[in-house]
Amino acid sequence: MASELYSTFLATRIVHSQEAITYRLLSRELKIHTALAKRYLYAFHCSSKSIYPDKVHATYLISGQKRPATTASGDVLMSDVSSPPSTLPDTDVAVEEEIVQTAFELVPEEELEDMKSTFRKIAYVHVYSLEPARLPEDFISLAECGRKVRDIDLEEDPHTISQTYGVIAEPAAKRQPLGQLASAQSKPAAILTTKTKAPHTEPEVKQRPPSKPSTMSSPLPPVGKTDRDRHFKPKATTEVEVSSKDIKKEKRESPPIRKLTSPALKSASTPSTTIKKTKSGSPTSRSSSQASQELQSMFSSSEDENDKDEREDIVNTEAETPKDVIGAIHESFISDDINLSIDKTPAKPKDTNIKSEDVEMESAPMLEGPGESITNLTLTKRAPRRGRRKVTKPIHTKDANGFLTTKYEELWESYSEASDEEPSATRLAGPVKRSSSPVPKKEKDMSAKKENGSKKKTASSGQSSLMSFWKK
Amino acid sequence: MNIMSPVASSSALDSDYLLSSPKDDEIFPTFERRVSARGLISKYNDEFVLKNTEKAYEQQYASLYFLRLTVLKPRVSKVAADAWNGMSILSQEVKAVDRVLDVRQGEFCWIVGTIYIEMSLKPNILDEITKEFWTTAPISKDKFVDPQHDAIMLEDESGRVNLVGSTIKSELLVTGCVVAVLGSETTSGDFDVVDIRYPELAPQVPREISTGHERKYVALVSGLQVSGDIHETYETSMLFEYLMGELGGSDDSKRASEIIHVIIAGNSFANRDSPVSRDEDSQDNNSQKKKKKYGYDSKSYNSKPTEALDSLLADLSTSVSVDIMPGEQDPTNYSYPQQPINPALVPRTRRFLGSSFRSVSNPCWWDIEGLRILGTGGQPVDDIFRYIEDDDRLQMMEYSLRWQHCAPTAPDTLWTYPFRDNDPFILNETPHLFFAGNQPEFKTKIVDGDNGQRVRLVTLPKFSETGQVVLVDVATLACEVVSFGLNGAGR
Repeated sequence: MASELYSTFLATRIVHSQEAITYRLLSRELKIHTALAKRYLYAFHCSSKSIYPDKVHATYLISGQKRPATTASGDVLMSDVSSPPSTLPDTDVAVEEEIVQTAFELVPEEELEDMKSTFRKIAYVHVYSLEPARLPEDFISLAECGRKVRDIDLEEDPHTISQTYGVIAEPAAKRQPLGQLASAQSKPAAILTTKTKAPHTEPEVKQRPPSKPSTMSSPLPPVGKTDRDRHFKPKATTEVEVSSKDIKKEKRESPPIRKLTSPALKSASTPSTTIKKTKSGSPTSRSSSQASQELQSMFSSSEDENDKDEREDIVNTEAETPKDVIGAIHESFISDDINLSIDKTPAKPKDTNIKSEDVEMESAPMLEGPGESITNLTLTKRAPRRGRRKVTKPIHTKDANGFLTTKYEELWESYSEASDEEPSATRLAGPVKRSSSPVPKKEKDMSAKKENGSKKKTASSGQSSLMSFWKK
Repeated sequence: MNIMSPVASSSALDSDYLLSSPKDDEIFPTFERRVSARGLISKYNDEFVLKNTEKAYEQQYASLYFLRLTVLKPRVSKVAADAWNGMSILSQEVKAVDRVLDVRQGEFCWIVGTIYIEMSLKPNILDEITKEFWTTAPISKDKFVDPQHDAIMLEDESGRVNLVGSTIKSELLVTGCVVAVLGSETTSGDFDVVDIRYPELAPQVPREISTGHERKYVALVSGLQVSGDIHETYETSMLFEYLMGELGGSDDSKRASEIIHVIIAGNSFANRDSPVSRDEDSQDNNSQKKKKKYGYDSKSYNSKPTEALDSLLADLSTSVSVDIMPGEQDPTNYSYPQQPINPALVPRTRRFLGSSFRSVSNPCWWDIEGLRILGTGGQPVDDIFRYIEDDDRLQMMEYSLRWQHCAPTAPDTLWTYPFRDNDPFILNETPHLFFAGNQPEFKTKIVDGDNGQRVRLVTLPKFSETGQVVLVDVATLACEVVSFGLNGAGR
């Protein structure tokens, strides 16, 4: 029966392991109501007197009202404030307010009776904890139990906690899952979260983000921005959890925000290059005929496959721009009809809705492939946005003491010299960043920079252009 | 709504019901908190929370004083006019004088201005520099007041005048409050004060008192001082267990379930160093000079307080909605108004952001089920304390309301941001509940205003010292205190 279970449990814990246990910890470990746990402790304590004499010590909790009961706090009624305020109207009748004081005292069993006598009115007495020996003055070991309880509670849903353990339920309490919060913190990501929380969860979407190390990521996002995101809206849902961080990083800029780490993405220039390269040089090349099937199987297949599928699709369609490719993939999902509509507008995160970033993220893995595959894209439109490479850059920041410090940081940079990472992003707005203009400007200049990307690249390191002197 | 079990009603359970053997099929009550409105009054709070991109420090503080005078002058003028217009002293009719400097000798008139109290014991940057060159006698920084030598002046846009007279000496005045004084100029150029008026309590938003039989409480606690040390006082854990409804018996849980909101008012973290002072002998400076590295000094940084508090709050947030307000010792800016503590410091609790956890500024305005609350972490009251001789904190809070300003000593001795467009500490309305955290002891009183305003003033004691938390009934403004103790450890 339950009674035997708990007594064995408690015996093991207290007598054999020599550890203290509070009613809370007992309730968490046995998944019972705290009041029941208190009863168990009491019952065990009673029974242990005969079985394990002097080996189990109880600490009690008394709740009630102590003597003296009233706290006089001089309730002065200021009925006439307009009287000469030079003296406080203490001539008025001072009414002593009776403040109800409830006290909770934790006492070892030896002092239980003494403590009871200090109470004017006892509400409840219960066993708080059982331990092998009397606890020291500061009850240290109980703190350890408390910590364990909180760690257990952390994993559970608030409403479950309430129902199982008898904790008071708070209807509004809602613990956001990990990773969700990053997006909740940043606005665009937040919007993304809410939007992507929409109905569907496509496994394909879910699987895409993890396969980041793809050099083909960059071409796709810009393409996908307008077309894809529309179509990919439902699919983007689960993306959010995993890729929220990425989204956050991507939100600032358009294509180049490839925080998807792509080691080989050094020379990515245009989507078509990627496409072509994947077609030719991808180690995972597939036959084009498999494209549509793979696309459809993306929903259930592994992420790698999905990526390859996407790549394949792109490859096969020989789209002019990544966008076409994305558009094609969209279409194929929807209607199995590959439509090579070219969308030439440079996709910017702020133009399209946030989902586009998510889409970028998804599309990034899709175009994964060896980095070198991107080098020879013929389309130059995407060139500036595409390259992502790891660069060690000196970052000048203002220290907490006001000193100018230089740190060398490895950043992912695209040709427009926009950095993917948050810290470097903030530094970009810092006072001494030489390599690119401040963040707000950056977005505006994105389109210009795209074209100038290569130009900037060739400029002296750390200096985007001559204009940076004036722009900064 | 309460989810009550069909077993014996809680009131019938005697005090020892938990000291009995468990029955197999017994069901214990589990309570639920009511869904309630617990909002912030954004029109005031938005002025306290400053955006980092918009902070500017080029302006001087004079504009803050000017704004304060501009807003409060008409209000106090009205009170003064109501009181003194038509009055005649020594068969001379009193009249209002616009500018302080326009007062004529022998003429009875009344003027409006900002009080400035010249105190030699006030912290003075020149003193600190002097200390570097000569040794000076150590001064106690507890109070600046020195009745023999302090001078009280009234200042407005035109100039200042010295206020003398027995009337003024017995008044509770601090630098920064806007008052109207009636009197005349003496031969020495001082203004002999006969009578004084304040703006008095601002209008109050009427409150509908719900007549439901279900009670709702707001729990106020301050000075948790969570340090995360092994020898941390256990009362904090007990407090959180109580708030979650686990401590005590079913009536205790029921009462705890009537708490619809918890406000943690300041000083939740322990071990904050005082801001760097120029005092070379201070311990802080010595230790700081040794630190020459960039980034954080791992020897002096201790993550235990934040981890411990985070763990406690995350658990509490599953059960009740919590607001945390920074205090003097908390990891946020030191100057007043303090910005909300960054939720990133409490990552586990941060997951409840937007649902049952909120980080608010100091000071802060709340609107909880129609009850409008103004709360501070206690710094303004502590600063006013330094200006006067006695220690009646409730009186200081009452005067704050009467001056219609919750932090009059800013920016004189209370560090503040140099506001340029408005003075956010001016009270445009009187709250229903006004509390100050981290005060020496729990005290409370009700203050009534001229126009039917009714405010409950509460000084919250430091929980780490007293183990007390205050519950205020939302409907009736009644106060209750719950205290937690270990083995009768004397407090």
